Amino acid sequence: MCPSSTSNSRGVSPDGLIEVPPPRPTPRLRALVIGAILVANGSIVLGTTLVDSFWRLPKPSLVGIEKAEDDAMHRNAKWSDGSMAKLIEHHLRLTSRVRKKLAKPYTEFLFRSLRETGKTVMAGREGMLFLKERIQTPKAPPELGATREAAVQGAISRRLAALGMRHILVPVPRKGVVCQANLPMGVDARRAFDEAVVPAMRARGVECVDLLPALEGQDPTKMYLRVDTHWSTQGMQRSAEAVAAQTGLLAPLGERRGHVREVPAITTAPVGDLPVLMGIQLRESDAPTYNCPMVEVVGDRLETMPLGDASSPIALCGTSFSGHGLFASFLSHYFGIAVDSHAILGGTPHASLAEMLHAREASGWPEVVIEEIPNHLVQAMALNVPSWVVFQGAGDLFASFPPPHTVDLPVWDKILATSAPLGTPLAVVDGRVAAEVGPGWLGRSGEGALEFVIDGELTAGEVRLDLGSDKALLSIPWSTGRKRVVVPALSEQASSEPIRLVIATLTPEASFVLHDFHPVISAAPSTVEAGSVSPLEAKGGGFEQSIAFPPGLRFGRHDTLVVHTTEGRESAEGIELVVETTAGDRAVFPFQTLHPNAWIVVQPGAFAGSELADVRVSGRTASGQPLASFVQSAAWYRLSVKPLVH
Amino acid sequence: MVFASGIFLYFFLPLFLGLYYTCPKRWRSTIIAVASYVFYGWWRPDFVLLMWLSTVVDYTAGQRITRLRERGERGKAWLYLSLVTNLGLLGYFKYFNFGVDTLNAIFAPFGGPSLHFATVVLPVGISFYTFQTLSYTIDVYRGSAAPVKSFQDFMCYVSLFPQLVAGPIVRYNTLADQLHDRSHTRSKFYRGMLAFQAGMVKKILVADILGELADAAFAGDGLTAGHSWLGALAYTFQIYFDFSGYSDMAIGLGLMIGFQFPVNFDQPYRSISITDFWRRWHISLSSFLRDYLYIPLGGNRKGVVRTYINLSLTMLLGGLWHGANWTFVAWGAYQGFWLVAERLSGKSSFYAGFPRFAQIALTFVLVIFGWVLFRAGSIDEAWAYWQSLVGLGSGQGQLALRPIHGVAALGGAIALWLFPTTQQLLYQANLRWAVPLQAAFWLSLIHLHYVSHVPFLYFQF
Repeated sequence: MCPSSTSNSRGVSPDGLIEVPPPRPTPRLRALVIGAILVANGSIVLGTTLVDSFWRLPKPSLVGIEKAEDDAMHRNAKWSDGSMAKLIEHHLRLTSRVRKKLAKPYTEFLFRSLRETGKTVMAGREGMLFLKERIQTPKAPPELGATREAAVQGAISRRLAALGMRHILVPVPRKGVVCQANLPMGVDARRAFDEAVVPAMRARGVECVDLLPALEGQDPTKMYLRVDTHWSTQGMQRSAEAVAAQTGLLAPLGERRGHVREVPAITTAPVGDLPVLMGIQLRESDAPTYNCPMVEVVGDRLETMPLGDASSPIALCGTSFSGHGLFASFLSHYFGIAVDSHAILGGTPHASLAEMLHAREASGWPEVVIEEIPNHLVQAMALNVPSWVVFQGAGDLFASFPPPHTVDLPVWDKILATSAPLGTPLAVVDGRVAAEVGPGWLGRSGEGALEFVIDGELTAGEVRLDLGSDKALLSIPWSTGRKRVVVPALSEQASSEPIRLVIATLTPEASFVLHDFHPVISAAPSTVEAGSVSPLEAKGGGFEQSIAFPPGLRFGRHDTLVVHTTEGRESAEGIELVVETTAGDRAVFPFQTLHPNAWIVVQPGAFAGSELADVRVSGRTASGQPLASFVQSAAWYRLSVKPLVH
Repeated sequence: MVFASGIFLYFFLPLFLGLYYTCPKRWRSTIIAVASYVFYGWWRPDFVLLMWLSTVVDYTAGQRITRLRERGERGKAWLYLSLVTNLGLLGYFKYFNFGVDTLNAIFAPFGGPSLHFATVVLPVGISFYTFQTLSYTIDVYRGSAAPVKSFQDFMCYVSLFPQLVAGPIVRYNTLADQLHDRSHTRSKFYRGMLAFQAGMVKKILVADILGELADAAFAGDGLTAGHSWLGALAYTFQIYFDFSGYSDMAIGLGLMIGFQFPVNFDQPYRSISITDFWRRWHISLSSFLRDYLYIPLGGNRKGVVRTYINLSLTMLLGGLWHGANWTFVAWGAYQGFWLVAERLSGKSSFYAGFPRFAQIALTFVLVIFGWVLFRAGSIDEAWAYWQSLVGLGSGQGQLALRPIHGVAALGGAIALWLFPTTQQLLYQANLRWAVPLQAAFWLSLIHLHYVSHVPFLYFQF
């Protein structure tokens, strides 16, 4: 260590303390200036205190996601973890009158002097502005996000197909990718993400239009508005043409609805959603007009076929990219047929699809559904929110419109897991973490199969999937790695019982990524072996019962053991179902509580190829009273599973 | 609570100063302690209990040691109690997760069991206040400080909010007299305000702005050599202006309520060697480590080899004090290596014969390489960054440079190499710089409204 650590410089006392000179007479002018400095600072601080204490702004009214986040912040605020303090500080910031008064001129000053654009917006070249969060994609592998949304879109396509509709997905490339040349130096829009979207969708059987080549074909910088997040009329026109051409729906020239013409660029002050986000109003000098003429489509036949015609065979669903301006008109033009637009400004594609299905339920489904989805939403839904929420969005969509071959399941319970990495909306319930999954995803077909696939990857730890209703439980242990779980037939009768999926972590750290969650399997029992139930034996304060199956029974990958409990009045606790092979392998399936007349369903697929030796069930009653019998019957289902679509 | 936030500047500070200056003198220590608990407990009230535990244990230990000494005993058990309590708190809250991760990493290749425990949350400033309370008991045990006269004074000393969470580390014997007898003059208040303003300007207008660049540089994307240097420079500026800014604010707040704290920085980037750097950087920590670790280990009194071992050990532990990560240990080792090397060459650098500006430049480069270790998330990341710096990296990434980064860097460079130190400026309190400082301070207040606050880097230590 250093032998001496204090400086001898002026301002530092010999013992290393800050030094203040002894009081001395102060010249009048200096005293006046110092007094003025003190008064000025005191006034600034106290003035702000008074204004922001007694003359606060009303809290801004929030809508949509912001409102949901704000509500969640209020609901979850606690002193014990600092969230209450953060909420108070956040509230003070939101309602500060001083802040509001100062922010606008200061933002304008920073923008005009240093081209600073704040936290949300990025200033590019040639006066172009970008939304930061749409430029900087997360560092996850580009295909990951696309794959997750593709799983959802694949399910949507299958659902729409089941209802007789052709689903065409139109992912809109991000502005930063198309206008990469206008991004500031050193900023990479991570094009790989957008390039991964279309192949991922197509791999899932989704008919998908690739707009990237169309938008980059001529002058990509003119495809998007300069100070807005949306595409220009030229971008819309080129995209509509590409949609029609790539889907085989391009009408011959003579059958189109009008003609496309150029409109001179408007030279008023630049307006768009990005200056609004920055909280400033741009002047003409801030973003000089450049040569980007608008285009529009005009024609008598367009006007006689208004948008939103419920009899149109083509429906357009989407976001503000479709809801703004002329995109639907351009589509009508290139299709040669009116388009029924259900795009929602500020909405999500799934919400727009749901709106369309509601609107068209009575008048008949359209033949073609064009779903526009901006790639930034693919990215946001896939990477910035827990994967459960992505699937929930699509699940909600079909809650109201179940495909004909499934039975609506009215109630969904929680997905439970003990580990936080599943995402922030998860709440701890009884030491486990819960997440909501929307209804409409599980059903039981007339063929006797629960149509349900979970395809996911456990990157750390171990979990157990418990799937079932109050009466039946399917338990599947899962160790690190990727797994595709097929839920087999439970009975030959369709059911509308509420189904619960529980992901219970068996180790303190578990991280789980859901890749797919869709109902595409047809599974039918090929063989059923009835088990012989032994009399119940008292054991260690509880009970144990054995189930014997014919010798030589070998495990198949999808084989399922179903145990039906007795119809007594008392629930049992601490249930353990033990399955042993002749090789000595042993699987234990624990259940905390099981009500009378319940079904235990386990799928010991890990032992595929091994020979079954023994099955035992043990547990105890809640009251400690003895039971006459616990297991009523048991059956071994030899299942064959055929994927219909994958 | 952080200094650079609306809640502190416009609510806590005016209310505190109003109360402090209107109440009778005898209550002031209590008011400081209560205000400090509010300040500290604002984000996590439960952590105040930890500080209380440390306060009560060390106060009791100090009293007991004094009484035992009067009876001719040394009171070593009370010293051990203080050591176990404070180092135990520090060890558990700061190093438990690190220890578990390290054990798991060691045993994993041999198929050993993986240990899983709930993640321990680090209480802000625990490294600072445990060192301070520890220094009190050690000083009383050594006889170099008299025991504190009242519990209120001790509460005030331990919790003193201006320097509570990020230093400077104020030893008890430094503050003992001031706790019950300090002057409150206009000159002190005015200078305190100027120091606070200077710190705020450093933090808001230089450190936070350049911090964006540093964050981007160390985010893991490979950069070109040139941009790696820019990123490392940005962090070098950020850490100095952030930490010295906090120290200035602490010193300023202290002066406003009559305390004179130790100077913590003395133009460290003008050092001519690493030895010189450690005389100027985080002075309160280096002197603490010298007096409570290096010298008790034997210092330079037990031969050459032991001196080098002691020096290296002190720097390793000093590195570990900064955080529970091997990067901090490696940073300590890196600094220790240069200190030993310079001691071997007669307490001067191997480039001591160069012109002074070249010595400063070379030391600055060595410091920058050290900061890479300090900032990187892992040793591997630091190694990759070093490779980029020397042109061996394969990254082609660039930083998104904006004009505001240039303005902040230019302002920072002028302050670093052309301005006098804050303490010199404070001593003179010359209107030539006090008036422009007002403009910069007001600008920083507006800028604070414009951006959400960024926590001080040293809070994590």
